[in-house]
Amino acid sequence: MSLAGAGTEARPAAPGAVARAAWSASRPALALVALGLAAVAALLAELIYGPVHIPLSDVFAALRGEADRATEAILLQIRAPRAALGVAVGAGLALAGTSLQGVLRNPLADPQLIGVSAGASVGAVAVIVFGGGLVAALPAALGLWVLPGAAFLGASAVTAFVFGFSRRAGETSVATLILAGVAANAIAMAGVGAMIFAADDQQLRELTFWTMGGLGAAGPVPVAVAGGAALIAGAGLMRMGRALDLLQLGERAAFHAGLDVERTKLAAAGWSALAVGAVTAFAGPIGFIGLCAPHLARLMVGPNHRLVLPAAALAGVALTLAADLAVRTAVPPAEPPIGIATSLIGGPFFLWLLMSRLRRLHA
Amino acid sequence: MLEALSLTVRRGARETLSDVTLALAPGEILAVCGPNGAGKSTLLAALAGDLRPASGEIRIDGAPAAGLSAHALAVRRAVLEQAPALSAPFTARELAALGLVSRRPSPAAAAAMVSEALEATGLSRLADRPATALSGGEQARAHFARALVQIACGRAEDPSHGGRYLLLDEPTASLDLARQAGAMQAARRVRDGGAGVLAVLHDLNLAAAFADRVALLAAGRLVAAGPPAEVLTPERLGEVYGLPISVGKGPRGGPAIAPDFSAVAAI
Repeated sequence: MSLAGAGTEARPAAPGAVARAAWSASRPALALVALGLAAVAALLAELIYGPVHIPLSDVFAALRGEADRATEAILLQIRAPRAALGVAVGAGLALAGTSLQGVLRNPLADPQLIGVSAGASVGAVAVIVFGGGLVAALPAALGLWVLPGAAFLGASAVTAFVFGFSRRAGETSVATLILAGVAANAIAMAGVGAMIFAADDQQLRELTFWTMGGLGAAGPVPVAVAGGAALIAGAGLMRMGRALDLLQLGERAAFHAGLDVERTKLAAAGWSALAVGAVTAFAGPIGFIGLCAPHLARLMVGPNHRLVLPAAALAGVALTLAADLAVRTAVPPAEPPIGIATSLIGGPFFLWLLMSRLRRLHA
Repeated sequence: MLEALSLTVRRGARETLSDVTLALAPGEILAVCGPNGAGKSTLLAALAGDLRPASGEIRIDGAPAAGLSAHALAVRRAVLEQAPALSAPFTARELAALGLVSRRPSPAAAAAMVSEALEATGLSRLADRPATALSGGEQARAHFARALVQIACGRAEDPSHGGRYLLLDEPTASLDLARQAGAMQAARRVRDGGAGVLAVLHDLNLAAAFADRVALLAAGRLVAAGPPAEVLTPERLGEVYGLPISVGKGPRGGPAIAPDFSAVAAI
């Protein structure tokens, strides 16, 4: 038995091995298709389910303009913008997380953990509490951009701070960066807390979602702004596949292999700040999508970033929309913040990640 | 030629290299030897374009390296660090493919370069295993394959200047005798392919057996450079390493270096 087994294994091209090789070659493509289907399913579910159930046939009818008024209003004015914002949030956070984890060679890096989301919150909350006059003084078309602009500035400031703080002699220390990020996160959240304390009742209503996030604020304009910015940042990040692969060799070896390391880090940090700033400005700080989606993608398509990036974007969309659906349908018509759902899944996931890393270290 | 011209490098207040002039020519193996802290790795890093010298310059085929982009440098030279890291479970084939420094070769030509490098490093059968699951020696060979791909791809990108130099930082560290020889035979094959190979080596016998020229560094200065038999003399080695060293005849007629270890006190 054992001899026969050894004989089969030693044969150079057993049919099983050929089939296995073909399977492992096509596996990433299948995984991408599966993630794409999951994202589409989550998107349709987001349109179908809610306090009012809208069957799939009515969804398509509304898209053709043939549904009744009430259905059309619910779909086009409430659910579609919400779903679109969810797509921008999921893809934006997932791509930012993928690129930060790739640049830092650490799967625990996440835009929320290192304070980028909190920086965006500080910017946005400052505009809500103190910027009313400024927004009112500007023409409407410009005023629209003050909130996302401030969120982007906040995200950029934290990103620049943590990357600058952890850079010594031309190399970025990953451990320092994550710890500096934790500190920046704490400081920024204290700032948000202080501004919430100073806010009046009317502003407070706007601010509740700045602690946990939500997709409910979606109107066509916020969606267009967040979606547009996330799209631009996503396009920038999508092109970084080979650069992120090379960085897995370490910064110096990546330079030896032809990568402009400084420009790559700057691009990853800048596009991430734009993506996180844009979606945080309208959806609040939604945790753990940037951590879970890239990891899920790597489990499914392997370490090659040209595949991980699109896979993570799809996984992020599916996760975000599923989490939103969960909080919307849990205790209707009340709507708990989406951050509760993502943190409930993401927190244990983070612990599991930590444990499996520790186990590997001690193995 | 890959040249260091009157190169001085400072790390903080300390001068780690002082006025070193040395050239690596295509088609030779140049071993860089010397005691700990002599500046061997600093010299390699400077030749690779990693650091900004305090004075002097690095020229690569006549062009100042400081003016070349990371990509242009990578087309011309490949570098293998002493303990290459990898923080993602790429397969050996994917790892070797990271050496594809140019997009000019067609996908088929690029795949052929990768397969050839895996063949040359004896990794064909392990090509589709995750490199993180390979043994330390196999991982080192996968990184060597990556450097071979970079040389081949550099040549395809720029036939007149590309893929001409390979810099190896202690390629034989922590290998047994036969594997040390295997690594140096691989370096010899790169040389025979027309590239200049610079290898930082601790083992003087390995340098004597495989190098066309040896550069001996001590305290940041170039003490001597030339054919092994001329550079590796008992007087010079004794002075540089601080213990009596006798030089006899090796199995192939080259120098065989035998230090008198008992002459050194405990640290």
